[in-house]
Amino acid sequence: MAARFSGVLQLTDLDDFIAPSQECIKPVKVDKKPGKAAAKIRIEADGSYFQVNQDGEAQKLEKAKITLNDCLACSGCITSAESVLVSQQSHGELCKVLALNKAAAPHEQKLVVVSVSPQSRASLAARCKLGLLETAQKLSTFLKGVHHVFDTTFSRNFSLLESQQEFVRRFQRQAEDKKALPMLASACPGWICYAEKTHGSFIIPHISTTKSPQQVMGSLVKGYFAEQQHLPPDRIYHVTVMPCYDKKLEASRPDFFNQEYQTRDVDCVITTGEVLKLLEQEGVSLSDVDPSPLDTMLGRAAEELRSHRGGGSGGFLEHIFIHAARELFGIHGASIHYRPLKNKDFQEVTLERDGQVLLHFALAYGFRNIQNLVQKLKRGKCPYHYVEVMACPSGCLNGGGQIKLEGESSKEELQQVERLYESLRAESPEENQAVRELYEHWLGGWGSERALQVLHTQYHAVERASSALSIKW
Amino acid sequence: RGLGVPGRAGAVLGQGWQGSVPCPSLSPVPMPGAGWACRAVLADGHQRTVRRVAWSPCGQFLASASFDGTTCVWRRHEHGFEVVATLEGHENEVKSVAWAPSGSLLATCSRDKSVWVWEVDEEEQEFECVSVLSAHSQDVKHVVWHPSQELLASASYDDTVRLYREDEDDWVCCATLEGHTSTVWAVAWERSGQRLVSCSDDRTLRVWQRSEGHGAGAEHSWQCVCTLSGYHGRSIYDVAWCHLTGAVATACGDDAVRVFEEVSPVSP
Repeated sequence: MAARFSGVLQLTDLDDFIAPSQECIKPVKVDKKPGKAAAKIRIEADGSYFQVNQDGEAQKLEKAKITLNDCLACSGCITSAESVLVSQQSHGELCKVLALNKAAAPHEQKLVVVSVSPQSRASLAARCKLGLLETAQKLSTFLKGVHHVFDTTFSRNFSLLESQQEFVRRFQRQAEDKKALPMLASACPGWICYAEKTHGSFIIPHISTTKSPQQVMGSLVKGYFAEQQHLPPDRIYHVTVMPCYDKKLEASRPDFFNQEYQTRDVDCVITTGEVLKLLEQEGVSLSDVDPSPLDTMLGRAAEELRSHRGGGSGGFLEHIFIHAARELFGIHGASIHYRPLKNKDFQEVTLERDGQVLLHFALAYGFRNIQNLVQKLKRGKCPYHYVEVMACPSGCLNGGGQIKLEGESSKEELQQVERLYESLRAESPEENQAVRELYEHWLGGWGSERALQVLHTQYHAVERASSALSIKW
Repeated sequence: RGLGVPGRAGAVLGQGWQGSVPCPSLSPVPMPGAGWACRAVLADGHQRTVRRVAWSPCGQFLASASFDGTTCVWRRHEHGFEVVATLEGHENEVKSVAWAPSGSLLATCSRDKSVWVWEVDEEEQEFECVSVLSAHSQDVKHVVWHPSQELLASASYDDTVRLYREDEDDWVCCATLEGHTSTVWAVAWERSGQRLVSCSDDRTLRVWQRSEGHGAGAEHSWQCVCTLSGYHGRSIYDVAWCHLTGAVATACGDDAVRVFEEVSPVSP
């Protein structure tokens, strides 16, 4: 996986390979030509190594390299590739990219697109004491050198629709497929990476294959939007603004790398906090910036901001619940009442008729609740059909990359962010005209093979290498 | 490397006794010492090194923490021990496990930088995770509970000791003790729970004292009141504070065991 940028946008000394430290336990495959005698090694002045064969022929030896992704998935040593990755995708890098792009020749310039998550927008609005629409419009102006600014609420429509559909299919085949239910949400990369590393092939069949709103946006921008602009996907630089750092890991998954064009669906993820740093660096106060009209992918002016019901983490539970109630049991407009369990991050919802429980769903946020859920699953004691799993307590609005105040006022600030987020009018994904058009004209129709291919993904259990050489007490 | 304090029942905690077998890689040849018999060999609980063992306060349960990422809880019965629970969830090696004095909480810590607190369910057959604490920035080596309160201490490769307590429906890190300049390997509480001692790769022992917070409902603060340096030739891997005599013993990489006693008690 060598995602090499064009000469114009070459990141300084970082690529997708890092040199493994002494502690690295990942086996590195180096192709060697078979030889009879022991080879001699010659070290050149520039530090490169050459293997000199018996007949005097010199062959340059490859430096041991390990891909960033393999490194991230491993946790075999104390360092982290996580910190390498985080520095590779940061507001500093974005500035460099924008500057280089400006100075590049026209035929080499990239079209820069920024997709902002509604959670990041709410966090910025709360901090800058602005309304959501103003924040969105002023952010558009501030990101100079960026050609388009989109809202991932749009791509979330696809994630919600696909999740709804997927749940109904799984529910219908639960008799033949023991692993169909419970279905577990897939939008949170913190949960996905943890599940792949710690619970592997046991839990993977339960995870929804639907892509997260970030990655659906990646497919739309590098697919549909690129076509509309008459550009190949590698001429677009796609940045997303997200409420957490794990979204950076999600963006760099090999499954989201376009092999044909050697480009990622999402090139760079910056957190809400990093946007604030950018503002501070430029000495700009968002309230002083002039607003610009908002963009939409379909080229029409955005009338107003919309949201989805069901809380600040996407609303997966509520959308799937209502859809399933209607499709499976003919119950329209089912009402949702949350019952908190042992803590506020673990809540249940049931659909009952005539004393019988038809659907039993839950929200599980934070690792302690995730752990208890997985334990119940392993013991065959999990009563739920669907669980909206998120790694952060209180969900995405409280993500690790959001703008936070320390101490007492942090609770109030979170409440303010939640209030702002909930203040928008919720729309149902089925009602969105643009979404319907895209399904029909670009995705080959609702439920098509192409829709499945573009909007779904897969997961990989991480093999845990145990090397006795690396034991640390 | 593990030293223990003899409990009431006379059980000595720690890794298995070595007989006089010179090469550790051969099958051990049991050589019974006077007065002790090997009652059980629990070989099927873990897939990798067993790093730490701990008896529950009631003596009926034994917890074992392993590099395989799990912690087993064994219940003793007449003819041996059986697994009542396997606590999973840590991403890699579990380094330590400890029972709270009440016996209803268990703490584990791991190289994955986190400390987990588990609650024992009433039937004592199930353990539920009540908190995942990611306060440390590196491998956590040791967790140990306050002698009488539900206050937890952890020691880490990140050179700090951290303290945790319950707050509403979750646990929080309520203090960070900074001062050591290298990995803190272990921590031990004084009987009163007003002080604790930490030992480190930096070859020092540090004694920390709790003081009342300022103002109503304020957090306690902890100060380092004594640093013992120049006594140990290498890293100090373990420390134990005797609850009967007040003496502090250390395990050191320079092959010596040392015992310290307070000569002039700190005035109250």
